[in-house]
Amino acid sequence: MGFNLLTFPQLEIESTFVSRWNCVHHPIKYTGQRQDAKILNFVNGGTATICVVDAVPADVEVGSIIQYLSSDQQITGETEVLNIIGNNLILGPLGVGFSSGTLLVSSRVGYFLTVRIYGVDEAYAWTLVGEAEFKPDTLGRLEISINAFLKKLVRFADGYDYAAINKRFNDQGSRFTITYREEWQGYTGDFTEFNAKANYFWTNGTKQLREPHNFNAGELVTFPTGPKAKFASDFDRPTMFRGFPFSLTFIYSDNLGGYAVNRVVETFDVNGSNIAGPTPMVLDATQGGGVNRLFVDSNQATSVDFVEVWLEQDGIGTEVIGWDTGTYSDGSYTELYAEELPDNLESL
Amino acid sequence: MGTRITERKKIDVAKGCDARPVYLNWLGTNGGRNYWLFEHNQTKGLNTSIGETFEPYIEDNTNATTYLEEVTRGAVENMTVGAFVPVSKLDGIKRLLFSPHVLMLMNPESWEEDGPMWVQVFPDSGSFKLYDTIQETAEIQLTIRFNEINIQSQ
Repeated sequence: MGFNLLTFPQLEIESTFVSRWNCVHHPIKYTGQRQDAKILNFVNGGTATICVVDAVPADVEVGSIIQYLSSDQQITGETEVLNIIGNNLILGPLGVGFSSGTLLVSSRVGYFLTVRIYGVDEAYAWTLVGEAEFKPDTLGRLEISINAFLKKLVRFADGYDYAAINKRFNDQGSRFTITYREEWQGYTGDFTEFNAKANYFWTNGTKQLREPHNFNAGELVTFPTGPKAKFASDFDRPTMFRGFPFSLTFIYSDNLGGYAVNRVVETFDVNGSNIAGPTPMVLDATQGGGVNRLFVDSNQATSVDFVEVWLEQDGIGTEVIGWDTGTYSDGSYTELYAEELPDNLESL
Repeated sequence: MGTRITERKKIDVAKGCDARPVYLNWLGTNGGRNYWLFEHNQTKGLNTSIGETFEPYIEDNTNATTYLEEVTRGAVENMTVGAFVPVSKLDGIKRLLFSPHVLMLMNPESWEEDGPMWVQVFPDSGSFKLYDTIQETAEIQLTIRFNEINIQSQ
């Protein structure tokens, strides 16, 4: 019994590199499948059909009407249970068979999910942002879009002091997670376990027509190796004005958990020759897991015509290997696989 | 040295302003904040409006001061700024025209000690001719409105 989440708000932006950062002004979606029981085998036996399930739901008896759906969504139908032997449901001659699928109990009328959406507040502490009901289609398929709730956390504001080398602003982007419970006529389930170490994020950004990576903020997401993130800037080549506050905006992603990250600055004269640097300076890792402002000093010497700024990781630290984004069903949630959870992620 | 994880962002360094700086900070569509300094000269303007008026009861005509009273007035200041820049920069600057959050720096002399003080301003909407693509440099002119002045009402 349960509900399985099948797709998550993430996108593989390059082979093996998955971005879990979503622009909150566009849909942020999970999709899933209601699965009252898992069909392990659906055997076309000629005069009868045998539906082998992982466990017979308590409300399925002889005479119950059940709906079956193959995993490839090609075969579906509704029929009566004629007999139950162990984990096998004996059905009438249906003339179809498949090897894995979903069983839905037709007497569970008015099925819906109540979803709770969590974001973080200014203190990076989890807070309930909203609760909503989502109804699946007749085959139990469901799409949950939650960006309207997370948008409430956005603020149009510039709170940066232009002094700290980097600072996270939770109202410009931060993490989110959901819990859900199943309900149907006469039954209310329990909410799934809350996962405090969730790793999906929203940002206060938009995507334009034909930009890569759909509505994912992919190009801006930092990884310790592989794709090089872009800074979020309206300028291909911005200008700093001596004596005026300047910053760059970037995503200090949780992919960098455990790494020391440096801002590196190199200065050049009008001929493009190096004057000073590359000079590294370490960033404040406690500001990770969100959208960050990066300080760049506009008070450069008069010989400096332009600077180059980038971020580097120095390879030190324990890498978080990955998250299991497999199926969930009531109770169990994502599993974190890591050799050792780095300190700064633990406190997030 | 470590492993680079972002693009190498080139940032031009321009000289600061000698006089009359107007420094704008705006929210870009991809979530970043962007800046431009308008300098040298700006045109300041003012729009006012009259609220309701009423005629007070005149008890003593000899000592009365008026036949007409105003409930209140409205006032909005504006400023027109301009810049002459390469068109590649103009492609960035133009984006402040449709940003929903534009700030102006109020303390360019003292922000480093006191922290920057920003005030929100509102670029006028309208139809803009930005530049011809054959140009290499172009001029931009835009008008920003300030918040309404708080005026008493009776």
